[in-house]
Amino acid sequence: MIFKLAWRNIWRNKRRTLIVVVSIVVSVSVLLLIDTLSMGMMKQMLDNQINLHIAHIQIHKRGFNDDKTLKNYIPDSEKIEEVLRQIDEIKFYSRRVISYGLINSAFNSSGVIIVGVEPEREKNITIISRSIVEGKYIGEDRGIILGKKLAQKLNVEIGDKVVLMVSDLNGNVSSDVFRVIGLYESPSSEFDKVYVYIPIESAQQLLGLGDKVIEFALILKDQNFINSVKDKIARAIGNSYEVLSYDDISPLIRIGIEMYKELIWIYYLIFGIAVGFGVVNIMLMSVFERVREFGVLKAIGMKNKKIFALILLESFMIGVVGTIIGLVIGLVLYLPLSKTGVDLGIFAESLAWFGSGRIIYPVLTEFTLSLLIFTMPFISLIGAIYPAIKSIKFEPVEALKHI
Amino acid sequence: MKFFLKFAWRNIWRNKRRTLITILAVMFATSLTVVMRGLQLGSYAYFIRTIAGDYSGYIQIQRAGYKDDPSLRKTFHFTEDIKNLLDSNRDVVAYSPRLFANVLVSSGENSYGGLIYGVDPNFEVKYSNFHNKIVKGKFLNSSSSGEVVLGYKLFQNLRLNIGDEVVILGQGIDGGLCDGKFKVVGVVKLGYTELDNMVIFMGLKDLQDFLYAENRVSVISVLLSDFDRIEKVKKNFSDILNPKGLVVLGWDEVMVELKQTIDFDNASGILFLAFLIILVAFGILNTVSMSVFERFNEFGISLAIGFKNQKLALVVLFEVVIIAIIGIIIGCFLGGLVNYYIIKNPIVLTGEYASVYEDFGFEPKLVSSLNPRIFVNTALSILFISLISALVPVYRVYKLEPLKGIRYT
Repeated sequence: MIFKLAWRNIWRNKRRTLIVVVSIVVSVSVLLLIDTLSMGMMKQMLDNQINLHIAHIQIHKRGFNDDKTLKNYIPDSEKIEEVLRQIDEIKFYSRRVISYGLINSAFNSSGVIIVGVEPEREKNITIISRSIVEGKYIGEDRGIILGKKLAQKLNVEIGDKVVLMVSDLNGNVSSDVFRVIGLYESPSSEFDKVYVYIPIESAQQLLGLGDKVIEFALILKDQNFINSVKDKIARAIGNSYEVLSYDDISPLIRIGIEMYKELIWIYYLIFGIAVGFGVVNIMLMSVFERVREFGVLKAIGMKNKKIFALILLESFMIGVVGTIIGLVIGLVLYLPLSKTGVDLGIFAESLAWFGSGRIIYPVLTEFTLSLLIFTMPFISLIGAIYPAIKSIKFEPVEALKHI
Repeated sequence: MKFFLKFAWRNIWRNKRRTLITILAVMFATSLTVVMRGLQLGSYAYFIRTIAGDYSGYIQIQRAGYKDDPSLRKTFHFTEDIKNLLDSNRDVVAYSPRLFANVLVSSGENSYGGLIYGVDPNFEVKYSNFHNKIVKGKFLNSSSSGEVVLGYKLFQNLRLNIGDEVVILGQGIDGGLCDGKFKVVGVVKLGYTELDNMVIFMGLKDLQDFLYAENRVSVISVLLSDFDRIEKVKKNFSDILNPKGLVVLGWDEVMVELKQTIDFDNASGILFLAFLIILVAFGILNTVSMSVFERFNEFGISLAIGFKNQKLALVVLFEVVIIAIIGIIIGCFLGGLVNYYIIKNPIVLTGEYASVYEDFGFEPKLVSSLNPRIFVNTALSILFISLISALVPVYRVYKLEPLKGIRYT
């Protein structure tokens, strides 16, 4: 009964209720778009970080992550491969050699991180093979691929020669000539300026590593397995190695996402308060218009509690109706955008700096959805408390005389 | 006119509670807008001042083409003419000629990529804050020779102590390899992860000798007395330097990423606040229409006794303007107080969150601004949107016929 009463009451003054409903609809759909876009941008930064280089899990000799010296090479990679082959959750793995070095062209030089990779296996680990914009992916001996940004800085093109200079395992300066066979362009401009790729054999030769490798990079079948697989590997290969998840290696973006989640409710609250003023206003109006009515209800024996609940329910219904329509409109806008993405080309350089790429695909998480669902109905309830208190303060006889 | 104002003033206080709630809503939107814009604009100005102040300069002199091809071949001679030009301009506060080189730096078996900032200590100390960011040892001084100062992460990675020697390997201006030994005299923490990992400060003269690049510099970073001098000085210098094959760039052309990041943040902030103001406008629309429809009877009678529609509409418009202006004034005042407090006590982030800022080279510090633009723009946009939201009810009053009004229930 009370539901029906509340529902009919809120539509007694259609215009007034509609204006408040519209304000809730606007805030819910706008919040949905803003929040999913920001989430999407950060997810992309995180995914790009994983897919560009770090992968899900890395294995090194213990101490390498803090001190990236060649001395911390992996002495028996066969043993590790043996372990990795037995773990089902691992989808792909690849071996790498990594070293700091200096790259020289005839015109310029630049400090770089040299990554020696197994070309075929690495294709499954990172997106570098799919990010080639000119030339081709590595494969042949003495071929090198560079980021397009770096190639511009060095003033080299496909087919030009560059010299890599490193200090090798024994601390002697070693250098070798490579031919540029491909240029890549990843979503992160900072990455492109620094990482260069050569076949693993060339890197081992350049660095005097023999057949030793520095790092294993693993991609799992599902990100949720990361921690369990990490522990499993660590137990199997023993204490002289370090097994690190992407989060151990580069926690900054995860921290950024946490910071965002901790602060985003402020935005919901701000919109909520703005809507809340409207709710308080119309509920007060409607209470004062109905003073006589409340008098009658009380005179025929309706309890104060029920009248109080009635007012709260009316307001809550407005919040729920607005939220549902807002969610529908928001989702209708969101769904196509989540497929096509939003091209923020005018901020391309900034987004490349953040490493998210210029096209942002909004992502709707459960966290966002629950904030959206609960904020406005909750605010409507809070906003109705004061009017509801007013509604039960009248004496029935006084209220009946009220004009 | 005065009569109408008085009329409007009395009308809005006929339902005190409703008017107060609407004023509160306007106040809320205004003060929030002032605070958020203050934080944004204040932080932008602060970032630009500190980052441009230490790195790019407000303006920068380069050789034409250096921006796309930052190699040694695109360096230029720092001549007496340029020096005189800089010294004689009164808007120039300080300047620093710098030569950059990418090198490999090693100690024992460890080697890392390094970026050398070749700086003249005499100029640099007056220009940047690098010498205040020394965490160990000392910064370069005018008598330094064969000495370097390292970023603290690079210093840690190379496992060095103050006084140790590092070997630096680079490519000279002729394309040939050059190497040399340098003594580490200091460690600097710039708070910018990328640079702390690779920066090496070296005396300009030392670096020029090392690279066989006599008297050459990559850029001259110039600090001006204020941002609004940039265009004037840039124009002035360009006229003189362009014929010599040099260009003068603003900080926003040198650091496009920073400029765009600020633009991006600014645009998203404005968008959010615009929606907030629109939400408040719905509240105003509701209040105004409620108060107008309640009074249709009254308006009908007024019209019947000869009041003009335009005048009634004007009164309603005045009511909206009064409500909006009261809210705006109080909101600006409260927002201004908050901004003032934040200027005096900047918010400094600590712990993990600070590292996110440092990774992108920003100091983890939030400052605010009391720039008059914030208040004027906020006030005007809220007033404007309030007026738009009142258009429909005002129009209804304007079109009201006396009899319809009197019979309206």
